[in-house]
Amino acid sequence: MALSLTAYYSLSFQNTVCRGYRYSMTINVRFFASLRERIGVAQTEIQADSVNDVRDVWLAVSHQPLDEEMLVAINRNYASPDHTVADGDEVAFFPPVTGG
Amino acid sequence: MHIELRDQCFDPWTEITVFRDRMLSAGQYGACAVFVGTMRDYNDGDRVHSMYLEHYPGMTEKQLESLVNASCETNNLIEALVVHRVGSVNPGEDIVLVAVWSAHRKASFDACREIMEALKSTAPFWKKETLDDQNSERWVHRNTPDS
Repeated sequence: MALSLTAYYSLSFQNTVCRGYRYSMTINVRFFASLRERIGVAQTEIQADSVNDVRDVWLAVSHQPLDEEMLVAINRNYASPDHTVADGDEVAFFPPVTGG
Repeated sequence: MHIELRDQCFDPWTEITVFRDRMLSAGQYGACAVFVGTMRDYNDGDRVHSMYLEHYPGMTEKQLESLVNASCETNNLIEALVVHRVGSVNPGEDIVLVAVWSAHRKASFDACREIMEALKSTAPFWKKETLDDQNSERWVHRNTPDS
C-alpha cells in the first residue's frame, strides 16, 4: 500500500513535522505529579527552533517564570534550567521528589 | 546489584534471602545492612487511608541504578538490592527495601544510609495521599532530609 507524502515523512523522520520543504523538529515536554495537574496535560510538543534552553521551554508551555524548587530532566537525566535543548529532546518538569 | 520497581506488595525478608542465596556465596561477605521503609497510616497530623506512588518510567530506574552504582564503588560493596513500590499502597505495606553486603560493617552501614538518602532526594517518585476524612487527596510536598 502506498504511503501518503505526510505519512512517509513522519515515518522517515522521527519527531519531524513536514511543512512543505522545511522540516521543523520538536521537543517533547512532560510533566509529573502536581505539576501535571497544574498544567493540565501529561505531555505536549513544542517547536525546537522556538527555544534555546530549559527556561524557554517552561515559559513556552506555562507562560510563567520557572519556579526555583522545580526539578528538570533532559532525556531522563537531571539538568539545570540553563541547559540548552535540542531537536528530539524529552524535557521533563516535576516537583521535589518524595519517594522512599 | 539489582534494582526493581513493584506494583504489588512484597516481603522484604523473603527478597533478601532469595537474593542472597542466588547472588552471594557463604564466606564471601562479613556484613549486611538493611533498611525497610513502611507506609504509616498518619502524616502531618492527619489519618491517611492510602497512597499512590507515581514515578517517571525510564528515569526512575536509571537514577536508582546510578546512585546505587556510586555507593557500591564508594563503599566497595559486594552486592546491593533495592526494591521500591509504585502505584497504590496501603498502610502497613512496605514501600522500599535497601539491602547491601560488604566485607565489614562500616561499609554496609554507610552505604545503606547513603543509598536511602540519595533515593529520598533524587529518585523520581511522588506520593499522593488519600486522607481518611472525606477521602480528600493531597501531594506530599517534599521529603524531610535525613529524618
